Amino acid sequence: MAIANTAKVMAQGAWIGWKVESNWTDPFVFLAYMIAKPMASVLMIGLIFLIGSDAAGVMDQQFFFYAFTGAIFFIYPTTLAISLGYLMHEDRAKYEVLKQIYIAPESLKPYIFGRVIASSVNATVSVIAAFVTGTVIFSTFFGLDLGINVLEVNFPLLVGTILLGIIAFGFLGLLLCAINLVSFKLQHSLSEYTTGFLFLLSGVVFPVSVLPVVAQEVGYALPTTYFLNLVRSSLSGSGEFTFDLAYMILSTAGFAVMATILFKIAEQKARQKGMIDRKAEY
Amino acid sequence: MGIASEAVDHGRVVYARAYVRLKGLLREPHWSIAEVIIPMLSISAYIYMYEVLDAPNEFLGFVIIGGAMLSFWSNVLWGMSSQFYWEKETGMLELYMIAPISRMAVLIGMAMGGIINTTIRAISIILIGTFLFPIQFVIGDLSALIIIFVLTIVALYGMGILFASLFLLYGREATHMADLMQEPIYVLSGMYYPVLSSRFFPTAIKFIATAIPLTLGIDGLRQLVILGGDFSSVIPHMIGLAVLASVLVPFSYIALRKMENISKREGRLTLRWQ
Amino acid sequence: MYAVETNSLSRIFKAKGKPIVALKNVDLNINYGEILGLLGANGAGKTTFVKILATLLLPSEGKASVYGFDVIKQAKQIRKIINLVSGGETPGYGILTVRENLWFFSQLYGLSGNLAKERVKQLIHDMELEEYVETRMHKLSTGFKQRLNLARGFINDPKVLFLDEPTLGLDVINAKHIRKYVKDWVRGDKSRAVLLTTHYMAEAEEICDRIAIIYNGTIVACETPQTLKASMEKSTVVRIEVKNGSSLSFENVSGIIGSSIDSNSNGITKIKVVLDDESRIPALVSHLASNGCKIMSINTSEPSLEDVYIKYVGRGISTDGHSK
Repeated sequence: MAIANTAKVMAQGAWIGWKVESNWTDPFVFLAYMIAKPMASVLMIGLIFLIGSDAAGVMDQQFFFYAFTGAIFFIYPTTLAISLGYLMHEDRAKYEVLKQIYIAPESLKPYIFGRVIASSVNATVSVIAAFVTGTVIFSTFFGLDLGINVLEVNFPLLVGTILLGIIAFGFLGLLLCAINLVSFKLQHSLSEYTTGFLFLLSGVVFPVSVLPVVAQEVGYALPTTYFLNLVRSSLSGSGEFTFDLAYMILSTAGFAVMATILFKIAEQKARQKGMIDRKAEY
Repeated sequence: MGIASEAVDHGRVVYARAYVRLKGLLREPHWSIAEVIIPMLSISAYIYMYEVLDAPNEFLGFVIIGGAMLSFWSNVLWGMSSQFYWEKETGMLELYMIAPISRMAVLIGMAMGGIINTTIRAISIILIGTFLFPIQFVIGDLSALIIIFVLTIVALYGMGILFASLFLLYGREATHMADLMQEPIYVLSGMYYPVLSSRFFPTAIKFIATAIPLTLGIDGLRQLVILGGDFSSVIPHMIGLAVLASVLVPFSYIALRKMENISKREGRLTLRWQ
Repeated sequence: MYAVETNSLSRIFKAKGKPIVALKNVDLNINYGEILGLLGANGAGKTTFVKILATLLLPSEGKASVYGFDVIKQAKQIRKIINLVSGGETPGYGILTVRENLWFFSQLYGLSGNLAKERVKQLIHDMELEEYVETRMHKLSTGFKQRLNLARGFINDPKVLFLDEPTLGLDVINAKHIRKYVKDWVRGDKSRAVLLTTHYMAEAEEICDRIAIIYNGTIVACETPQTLKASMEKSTVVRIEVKNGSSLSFENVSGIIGSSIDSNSNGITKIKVVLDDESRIPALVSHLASNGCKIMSINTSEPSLEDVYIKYVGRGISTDGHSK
């Protein structure tokens, strides 16, 4: 019964997430938005590679694969961080539904995870579109080959990595919700801080080993780093992935525990301070 | 009413609207901190990427200049153009519309307030970038630098007023369209790499890119502070920017009036959640 | 000449499907020194009417003028002499203090340094906001935000003030304060005028010199409150409390001008019926009995403004502004 209820709330959250994020224009324009935006980011990475390599006089296709796949699959944590980073602010101040969701029995966390599902679907569409169009553009116009052999792709690992990644980023989103539940100061900037730090520290467009030592320590603790490594391993069908997989599972579990505890604390604090329905308008 | 008296009234409006921006800057300093730290994160990532590629050192400088100018673009798009949409959501827009003031004056006030904040942000990015990475700047010609910068700002803000008129009419759709346009503009304007001198962009694309004030502005500034260029090396940039500014500014004024009339006719001026 | 004048004013909104007629051939005048109330349920067209006069919306047909200036062609001149206060909204910048917000708006109306200072000081005093002068707007309660909103409405000392449900959502004390202030303000200068839209009968009756009743975009009556009530002389208002009356209807009962039905959780239904003649009362009682209603109490009373509204519109307005 409780599980059925939770599932129902999650489904509602997913439905609302879809409606809120897509219901501002006609479906074709929305699709174009979902594809064009990430595509432009990926294009920029590819152009940096091309122009930088041209100036250096060396074209390292393996590094292109590294940066290209990193940029594309980074769409997952970006989409979830942005969507969930704004969630508390939007539902509290703009739509004013947070208090109603909160007082419905055991609804807030399932609702948030429902929103994770909706964002994950959006992210998946963007990733597929960006991957296909990016590959076509760079191979057709710039002769850059990703070197991916479809027959060698480790699809079970790829799918498993994506699912594990969604879980990890979902809990990251829960953590962002916890922070915004008890503070107004970061409601507009938290998502951007998060995606910015992840972009810099997770080996998205360059290896973590290039960073200063202190930053490397942080980078190696993030699930995003292992997520991207596993994606690259699965796409290339080569390399040892057990270490990355173990660390991914470990860091995801760590994130999940930390986010759950912090969310519980944040809920208590928000209730104490009367922040669940308080608006901060500037 | 005399021209002088009208000018004084416009000045009051500009000052009042800029005042709101400046007070926000002083009372919520964490906004300014975020506006420096957040762009520095992606700027640093692109710099590291160029280092891995072993690109010449000037590319690091290109990224910093692009990142600094990005501050102005963000201020134009989100601090000015979309502002009327946000004012509509809070009920302020109708109060501006019923007041006997120039809409341009309100937008200019927003821009002026934003420019101070943005300039601090841009300078901070340059200083931090120079501190963290081995980048060298050399100012070839100060007067050329000032001219390029001023022309870029005027053209950019003219574009911003044009977009503001679209936000007035199309509301939420315009916000998403602006969001959609961000990355393509970064790609075309050469935020993190040179466009105009690159062999990877066809001439047609370069021509389209020069319609964006940022492209010419960023390239001109790079010529002057990184590549050691002088006044003559940026004359084409100055001409291009002057043309853009002289077209965008009057056109934006006309567009703003037209969009306001359409909004009033269709009843969208005070319609929320649109 | 009138402070505000409209001739056959209409406004149609295009919607997917069929067009929405928000206003239809509205002829309405506001005299100098007058508070005209515009009474109607939600969706009747009150706010649309105000927006046209405030130059926020263009009419589809007809003419309107404020202080002799045409709303379409002379909007600039109108804006110098009007202001608008909308209830249920608290526009302003949360980051600025009460004093700064008022100063900000004074600059939009071209008030010079000293005049602005004086005016702001006076309004803060009038609205009893002294305690909150240096408080940021986002920290004020709803009532004080609305007082600030009202203060802002007077910042340019307008000739014509549009008050669009100014006491919406306010407590009794704040609402009373606002009404008194508006009344005194208009009385203070005969060249001023106020258009007040509301769905609160008592408010309209308390402060308005004349009341216009608007229904489905059309003005159905426009007189002083006394004249409107006097028009009910031949009518009889009957108030009845019944049990088992939740699904009652008076559709086929003759002699009923209008009615309002209000059921509560205790099973008691309060009915107010406006009859065209006293002699209809037995038929009314018989109708109730035949519908299984048990009459708990029945009495006739003096017509109120609500009864006038029911007579013209056929139904009442609930406390949340919807027709009942």
